[in-house]
Amino acid sequence: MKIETDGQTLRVSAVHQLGAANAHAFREGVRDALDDTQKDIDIDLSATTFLDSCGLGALVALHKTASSRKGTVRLLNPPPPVQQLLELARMDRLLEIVKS
Amino acid sequence: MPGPAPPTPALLRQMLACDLAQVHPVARAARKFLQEQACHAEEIVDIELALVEACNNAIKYARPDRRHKQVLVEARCDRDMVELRISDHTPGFDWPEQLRLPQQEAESGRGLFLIRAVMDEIHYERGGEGNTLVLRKKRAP
Repeated sequence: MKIETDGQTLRVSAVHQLGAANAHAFREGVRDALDDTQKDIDIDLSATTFLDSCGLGALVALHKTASSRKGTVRLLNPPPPVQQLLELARMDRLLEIVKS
Repeated sequence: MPGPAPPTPALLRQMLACDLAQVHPVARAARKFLQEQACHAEEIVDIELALVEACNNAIKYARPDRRHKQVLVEARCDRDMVELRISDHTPGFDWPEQLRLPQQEAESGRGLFLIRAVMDEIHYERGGEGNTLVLRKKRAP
């Protein structure tokens, strides 16, 4: 996982898998990387080959973290199977999904 | 005269320790097996998700006194159907007749819904020594 800062936004990329085995570490790693000035989290899912319900839970947890700072979580460029799962779990109603 | 016997389904059998880190390698093995059986990519995505959710539950909810026992995963595939059998050592539960997604901001509780959404048939067989979740998905022609 790669984390970069860009003003008020934390950019997370190179997330290859997001499942039960690493969801907790992912969530805590992102939270720990947030400084006091950042409120938005962009998560680039373009390299994600696997996501499960525990991974979805981590995304929801980060949404709540960002919301508490009056910010948002955006999911960038999920591959079709990941997009399908996000829609199946209706996460697209909670999190903004951006395709470029 | 009876017709020829149907071909024996292809079988993949994997054992995994009670450790969530072991789930992804088993899912990868299942993906490779299903690719070898010429399953469609969309079917493989669905089956892999159901397999992972089932294994996650089998590990997360294993009885403390049986966590040393392995989880047995079997995948059978013939030309019409893929069947998964995941044997667990949890206390077991009654499979809900109706499954709904939890509240949007819930951080857990989506696994069974996802299994139900992507598979065609679900049976949960409870037993004294363990339980077996049987999941079936019809293959597209």
